[in-house]
This record gives sequence, structure tokens and C-alpha cells, in this order.
Amino acid sequence: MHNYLRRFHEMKGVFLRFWARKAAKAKAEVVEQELKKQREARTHQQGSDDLSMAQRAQMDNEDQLECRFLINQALEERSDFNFPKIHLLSHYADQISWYGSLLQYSTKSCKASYKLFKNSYRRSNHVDAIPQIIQGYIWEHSFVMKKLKMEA
Amino acid sequence: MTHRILEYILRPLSDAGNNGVDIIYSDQVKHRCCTRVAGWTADHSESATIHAIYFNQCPLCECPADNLGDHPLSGFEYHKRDPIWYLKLWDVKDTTSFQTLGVKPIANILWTIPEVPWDIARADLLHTMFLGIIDHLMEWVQAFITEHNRLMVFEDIRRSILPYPQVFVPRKPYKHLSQVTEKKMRSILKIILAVFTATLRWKNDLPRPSVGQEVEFKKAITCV
Repeated sequence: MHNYLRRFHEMKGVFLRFWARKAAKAKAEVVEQELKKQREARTHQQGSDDLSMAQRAQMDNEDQLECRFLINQALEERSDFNFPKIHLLSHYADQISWYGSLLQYSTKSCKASYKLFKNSYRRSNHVDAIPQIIQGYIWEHSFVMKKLKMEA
Repeated sequence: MTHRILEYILRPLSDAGNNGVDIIYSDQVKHRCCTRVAGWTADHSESATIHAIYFNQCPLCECPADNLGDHPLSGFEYHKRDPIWYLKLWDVKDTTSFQTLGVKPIANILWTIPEVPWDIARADLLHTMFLGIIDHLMEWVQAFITEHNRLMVFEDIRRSILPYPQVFVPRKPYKHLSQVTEKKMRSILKIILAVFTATLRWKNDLPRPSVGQEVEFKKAITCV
């Protein structure tokens, strides 16, 4: 698992520009606007020149590539993957060997037990809901227990 | 306040671990048991509260917040958090060290109950992996494919997957899924690499990728 993680960390830079922070996005927007202005000025300047369609298309393509490169650079400059969840993955490999399968530590089963409370809240009139939730939970629990006793 | 409540919960369990407690088993026979707290299933924010660390810190090791995105080399891992050392720092009121270590300077109950392991908060796959990293990865993959004008191909390939046990293939595009559960995420995880690779290697009706794009594609596939 460590090998897979190492490879993920080596290559994750490809996705860095999609994990840009607000500051980086703002900076990239500024860079984009500046480039747009420069491009417009250049087009205006070259307007009178006699350029063929192919030459124009080539220049546009080169401009787009350069623009994309500079925007990506601006996005990647101020971005990083420094958030706790990505770091916690490096501990999971050890935890598997210490404690066994990680699925047994998932909070999925705990989340499933919220269902009765959520149902009780939906049935309440949403005004002073806590006593109604408790009452609804007790009713539901009593019915389940009664049903189990009858089946037994 | 949180740690007072934690003490209220954990102290009796610690005493029961030392002195033992009578527990009636399902066979109605009373047994003397020494209970041990082995883990506390918690997501990262709860884990940060239990360990009294700042939110951008790792609860298990002393990795600085600026290096969380780097993978430590084998043999160069960061120090594990040491409750005995923290207790000593707390006794001398060394708040500067606490700031450096990313620990809140409050009386942490986990330092004073030796029977409770320091790494009590266990890995939470639901929030860290399935609704955390995999969710982010899907966002990155979608953005990457959109940038390279291959989103339609991606969706077509995903939809063309035949039914298979424990593989849920949603009809809707991923970004239109309103509520993503662990079950859906796990089944998406099973197919994502195959679908992503097929999308990037798709050649029909698409312009040939440049050399730079080819390199990016290879990196992205390795990353996923």
C-alpha cells in the first residue's frame, strides 16, 4: 500500500490546478484578464498587417497555449495538498497491520442509527421538537420490541 | 468542558480495566471482566476535539501543517504524538511548544488516563476515504476530463458498463448526484480507474492528443 501511496503522491501534481485555493483563483483571473488585454492590443496592432488565415490561426493557437500555461502556473503557485485527510492515508497502511480491516472502524453503522431520530423529527411539527423526537423514538422502539416478542 | 465530559465517560472504564467489573454474559453467567478501551470511531473534526489539536493537524503524528501533503519517506516518518511528553509540557506551562506542535494548551484527559491509548480515535473510512479523498478525486477527474474535452466520452463509457454484483452504475452524471453514500462511492471506486483510462485512451471522434497531453494522461492514470 505504501508503494501505491508513494506513486499517488508523486503524480498528484497533475490535479493541483483543480485544487486551487481562492487566492490562487483570484490571481489566475487577474493573469487571464491581463493576457486578454495584451492579446487584444496585439490584434489591434496587427490588424493592418497582411496576415494569412493560416498564420492568424497559428498565432491564436500559440496564444491560447501560452495563456493556458500561465494561468495554470498562477493556479499551481499558491496551491498545495496540505489538508489532513490526504495525510491520514499514510497512517492507514500501518493501521491495517495493527488492527485489521479498516471497514470495521467506519462510522457508517453509527450514522445508520440516526435514522430513527430523523424519522421522529420528520413526524414532529418542528416546534419544540426534542420532546416529540424522544416520544416518537419511544413509540417506534416499543412497536419494534412488541413485534419481536410476538414473533418469538 | 469537552474533556471534563470525556473524563466522566472514560474514567469509570479505566477503573473497570484495572479492578475488573462483573458482567452478565448472554449465557446468564456472571463473569469478572477487565474492560479496555480500544478505539473511538470518529471523523477528523471529532478526532481533533478529542485530541485537543488544531483542525489542520494530524491527530497521530507531529507532522507540520505545511507538510501534510507530502508522503514521508520510509524511515523518515514524523514522531508519534507522546502524551507523557505533553503532560510534562503542560506541567511547566510551555505554551510555545504546544503552539509549535499544533496542540491546544488545555488539560487533555487522554494524557492522564494511561489505560486509554493515545491513538484512541481510529480511522474513519466513511468521512476520510469515501466522502473525503474519493469525493475530491472524482472532482479532480471530472475537471481534468472537462479541460481535455472528454467529459461526454467519460459519461458514455460509464453508462455502458453492464450490471454486476455490488457495482452501482448511476444513470445520472456524477455531478448531478445529490446525495452520495458510502455504497455508491465504493462501487464508483471499483470502476473509476477503468473508465478513466478508457476515456483518456479513446481515439474515435477526438483530436489526437499532443505530446504534453499524453504525458499528463499517463501521470493522471498513475495517480488515480
